[in-house]
Amino acid sequence: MKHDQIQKEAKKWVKEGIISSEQYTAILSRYPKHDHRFLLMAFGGLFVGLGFLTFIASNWSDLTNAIKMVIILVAMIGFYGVGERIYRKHSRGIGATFLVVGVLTFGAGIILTGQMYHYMAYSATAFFIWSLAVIAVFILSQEAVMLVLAFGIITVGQIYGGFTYHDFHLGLGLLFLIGLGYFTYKHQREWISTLYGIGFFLQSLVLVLTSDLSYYWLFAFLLLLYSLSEIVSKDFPVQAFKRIALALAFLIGIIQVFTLQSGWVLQDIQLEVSFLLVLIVIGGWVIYRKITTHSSVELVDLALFVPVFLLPDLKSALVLIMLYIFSLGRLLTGYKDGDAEMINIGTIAFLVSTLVAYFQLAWDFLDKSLFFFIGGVLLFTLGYLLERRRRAFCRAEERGDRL
Amino acid sequence: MKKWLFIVVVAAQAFYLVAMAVSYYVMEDFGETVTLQTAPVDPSDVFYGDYVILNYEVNTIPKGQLSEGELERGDKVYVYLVPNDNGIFEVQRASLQKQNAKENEVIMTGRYEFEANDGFQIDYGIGRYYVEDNSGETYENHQGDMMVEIAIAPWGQKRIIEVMLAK
Repeated sequence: MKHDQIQKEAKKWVKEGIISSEQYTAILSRYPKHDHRFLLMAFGGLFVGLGFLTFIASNWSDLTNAIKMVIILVAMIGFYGVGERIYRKHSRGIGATFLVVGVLTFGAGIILTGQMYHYMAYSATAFFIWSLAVIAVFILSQEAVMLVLAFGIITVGQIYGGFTYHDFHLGLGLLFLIGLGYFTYKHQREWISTLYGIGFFLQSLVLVLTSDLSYYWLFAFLLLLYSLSEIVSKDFPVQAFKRIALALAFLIGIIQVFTLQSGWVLQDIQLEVSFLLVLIVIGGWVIYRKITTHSSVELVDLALFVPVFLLPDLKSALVLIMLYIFSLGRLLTGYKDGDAEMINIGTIAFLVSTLVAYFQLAWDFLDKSLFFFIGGVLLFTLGYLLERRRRAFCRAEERGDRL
Repeated sequence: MKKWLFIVVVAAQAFYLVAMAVSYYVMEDFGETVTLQTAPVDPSDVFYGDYVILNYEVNTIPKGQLSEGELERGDKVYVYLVPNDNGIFEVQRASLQKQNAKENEVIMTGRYEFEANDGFQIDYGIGRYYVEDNSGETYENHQGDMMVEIAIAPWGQKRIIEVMLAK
């Protein structure tokens, strides 16, 4: 309801004697007048501030360290102060924009100060300090954009540290797992869960690549992500965890099909007993949960996590079989339960598995042009059949009857 | 949003940045001072407009003096320096582990770069010395060694205090 609208209407009500003039002012005071000039002022201020910063940045090397420090501090405190004031008095959105710039200034400040005073970094600690600041501002403001920023800084910091220092930063890892995990649990939103799932995988990827752990530990981490959806109550939107874990396990499976066959890539996969133990513990827990919550059909998901690559022979064929078990399982249970999403996932997975299998089997034996030709026809036919079946199913769903 | 809490959060960030700057200036009072000798180089390669590239003797750790056999690029290395008869500090030993410094040893940390013929190359982050305007030629035309006085803070930070030209 707009202030002006209410004013116009309420004046009539006073005239008609529906409300008294005291009531009129009381009603009006509930709808504060929005001042649009303020919007222009705020953005003007933001642009002037940013312009000032870019001007300084272009002349950065000519300034003395003391002046640089003063500029960084004034810019940071200025953005924070103005942001807080606008946030409290005028507009949350614009205030949050200023707060974001303030947080970014702090991060830039750490890096610039480190350069000015010849700090040597041996780890991603600068990102850790920066993340703490973002999380503190998020806790105070509860603005979604700050949470996104926290996800971004913690993830980018971990990846950057992994590349630069060949180390997994434990602080950033724990901050992600516990800190962001807590917010994900508390706010229970689909998009936050999605961010968390992707971030969780990237953290484990850096951990696996920078440590002595074998690549297959990724399966343990993905299964852990998958199992998180079993820990929390059913109404929690953790479908995102499942989807991301399955999609990534499937993707690694495909990569395995191609790499395990050419023996030189992963010639000697050493079995680590601890990995098997972890896998069995988490897998067992998931199986137990699925059975006790009467969702045994989902057990087919676990096919993607079976460590067939540890077996001596036929690794790539076995991985392929696992991909098929997952795809067909999803497809069939989808039709059985009338779950359109399951059918879609199963369809896509089945097509991709077929393509991978065809590549594996036919690449060496067929003339290349024939290979692509047959492959194309094969996919067309399969795709057509599956799509026709899916549409018939969806139409039947709409009509409310079952196939 | 609680105003006073917000002020605390912002103040903490400002304080962190200020502490980063202040620690640089108080290093000499809290840390130790060592004199290092630069490795001989061609003087014309040294000067870059507004700074001098300094390459130290201690940038190279002879292979026998490192406790570990294997190093990965980017590893943090603890280098233990002791003064020779002329008061110039030289590498005594080096390790990936932090150990207690023995008598008259000074610990300097650096990042492992690569393995060269004569040993392991370490970057200490003190390879650049920004010179005053118009004094660059002094360094450009200088033949022979330079002595560099370095302050090392207990928290590992380093700072070039002075570059002295040997006759």
